[in-house]
Amino acid sequence: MSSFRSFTPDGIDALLPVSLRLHRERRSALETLSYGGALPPLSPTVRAVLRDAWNLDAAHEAAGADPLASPTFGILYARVRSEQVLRAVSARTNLTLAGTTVMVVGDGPLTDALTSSLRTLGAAVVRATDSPRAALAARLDGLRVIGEGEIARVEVPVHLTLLTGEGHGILPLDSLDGLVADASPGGTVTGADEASPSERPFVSRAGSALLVEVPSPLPTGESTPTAAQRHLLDALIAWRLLDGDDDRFAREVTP
Amino acid sequence: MTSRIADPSLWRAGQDRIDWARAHMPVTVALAERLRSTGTVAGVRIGVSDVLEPKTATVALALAEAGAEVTVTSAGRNTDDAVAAALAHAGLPVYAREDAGRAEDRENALALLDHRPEVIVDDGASTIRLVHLERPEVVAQMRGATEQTTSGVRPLRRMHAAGALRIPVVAANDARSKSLFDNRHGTGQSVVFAVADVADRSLRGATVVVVGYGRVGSGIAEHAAALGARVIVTETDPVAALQAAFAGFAVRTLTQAVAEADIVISATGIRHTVDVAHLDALPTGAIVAVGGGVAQELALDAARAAGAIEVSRDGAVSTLRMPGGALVHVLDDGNCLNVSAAEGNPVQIMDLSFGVQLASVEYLLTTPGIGAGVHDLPRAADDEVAEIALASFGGTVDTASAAQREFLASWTSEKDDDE
Repeated sequence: MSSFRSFTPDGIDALLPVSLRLHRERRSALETLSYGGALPPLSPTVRAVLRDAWNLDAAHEAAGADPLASPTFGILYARVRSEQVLRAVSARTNLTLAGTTVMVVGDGPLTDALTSSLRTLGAAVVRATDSPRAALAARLDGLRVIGEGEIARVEVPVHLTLLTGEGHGILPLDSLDGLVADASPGGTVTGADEASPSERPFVSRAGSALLVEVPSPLPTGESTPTAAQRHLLDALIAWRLLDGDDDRFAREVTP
Repeated sequence: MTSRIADPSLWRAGQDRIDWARAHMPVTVALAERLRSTGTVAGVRIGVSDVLEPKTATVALALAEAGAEVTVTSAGRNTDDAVAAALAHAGLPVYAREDAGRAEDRENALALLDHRPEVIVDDGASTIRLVHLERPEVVAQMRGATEQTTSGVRPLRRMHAAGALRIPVVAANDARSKSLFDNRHGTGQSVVFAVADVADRSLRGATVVVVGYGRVGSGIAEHAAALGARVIVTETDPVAALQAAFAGFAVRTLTQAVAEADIVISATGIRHTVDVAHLDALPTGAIVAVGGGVAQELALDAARAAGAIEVSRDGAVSTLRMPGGALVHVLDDGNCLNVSAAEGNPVQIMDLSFGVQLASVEYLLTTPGIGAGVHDLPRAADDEVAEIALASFGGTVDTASAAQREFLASWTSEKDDDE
């Protein structure tokens, strides 16, 4: 699928189909589409490609609007990100998900999307949250719920802990056992500098925890963007181009 | 030590991957430790003929550490050269090279037989059949074999019916700890995730057609749904089709389903399941793959004969222009994707299968008078494998009470119900 993988000014039209459609509606001089919030900045290469091809500058600025505050972007992000995270954990560990106990930490849409996928494929989910509303919903959905302060004391073996970054702060790795994956938008909710390499690529050790590296939701590095990163980048640009019309945005990004 | 491997210097990378697998294989470790402490396999010559990757290597090493004289072979297409190097580095004779063709594969299997194994741990029954055909003098000294696949047990039963099977073989494949988990959960996860990774395609909102709703197909359907796909199942068995409907999946004919497919995954193990007409009816951009699988499960040779042309190839993705003009992406040339293009089934699932293999070896070596034929693993041994695994997953099995056991043993219990 080489044509889909060439992230160049010539190839970008095929990679970001929704943005392309919207961009064509309003061709203009250089347009800055800044965004803020927890999503990470794009790589200089990707920004350069967008500038060269479409005259767009997608800059991360502290004062920029947060795409995760858009209900539609939140729906899309949660689902694409949850798939991206579970695929990374599976591919990078070669361990089973069915049969395991997975603790999902957080209280937002990504937390819910991860929970739904994991339950469907046969994992037992424990939710960790201090949000009373999230705890209520999770309990009524038949999930075990613990407070964030109980994470280190849960008595069942937890095979995998997923940190969503939704409504929780940094968790020290030494409080965790088993596999741990930081699924937050910027990979910022574990103290990764505590970790040392393991025998397995993309996995590092910190105490009795094994930290599984999770790819960024957006193309932030120099490696070729993956389908999930392209999908979220496409949505990010489309969201900015539609400037708050969330219903139209939803229609545009629905497959 | 004699070995035929690609590159001994790769051993460190192979050892790292074996160490990772072993740390997540509690059943294999526990049963191997018992074989060691009881001396059951001490000095016994055991040939391991299997896919050669970190999990199978763990079994071979565990048997060797328990005192067996272990020799390993594997077909080239199923060989990881780094893992082969790690086993050779550990002192095991290994006959396996990733680049080996069919002729060298056969030479490698014969080299294993030159070690005169008393027990063969087999995958696909190819080495069990080879020893009967080519080394009858080795068979005469054998104590038995184990076989872990459906496609291997089937010819062994035919051999027995024809009077050709001269050793006891434990059908490890049929143990519940293997058959209920390996295909559905193991292959289900590894195939679906491999399809998404190899094609670099999100399953969110995709229409995924799962062909066949047996143990493999049901696992694929379940995992695809978990990742957000809309799943359509096609089945020729009405009961299995009904099961799919009761699991919440749309059930259609393959001819109907292909027209709206984003991804087709064949899971029947039957040649020409996805035939030329099906491939030709796929929309442009559709992806086809095989999970489990046999050769030409996707009728690619026939499609080429009918005019399909490869227009591009990127890694394991071959793009064919079908006779009708659609561009179809074929993953790994229709080979069994989870083995050929990923790391195979998840470690803990394979731990169950290998636990069954070790329990089968123990059964063969500790049970006097097992005759030639295909035997089931006794229920108690199967249960023990599940119980060890359950504990590692945090579960605790219950025991039947005296009253329950009495009820189950009685044939006059109806009158008690009336009181």
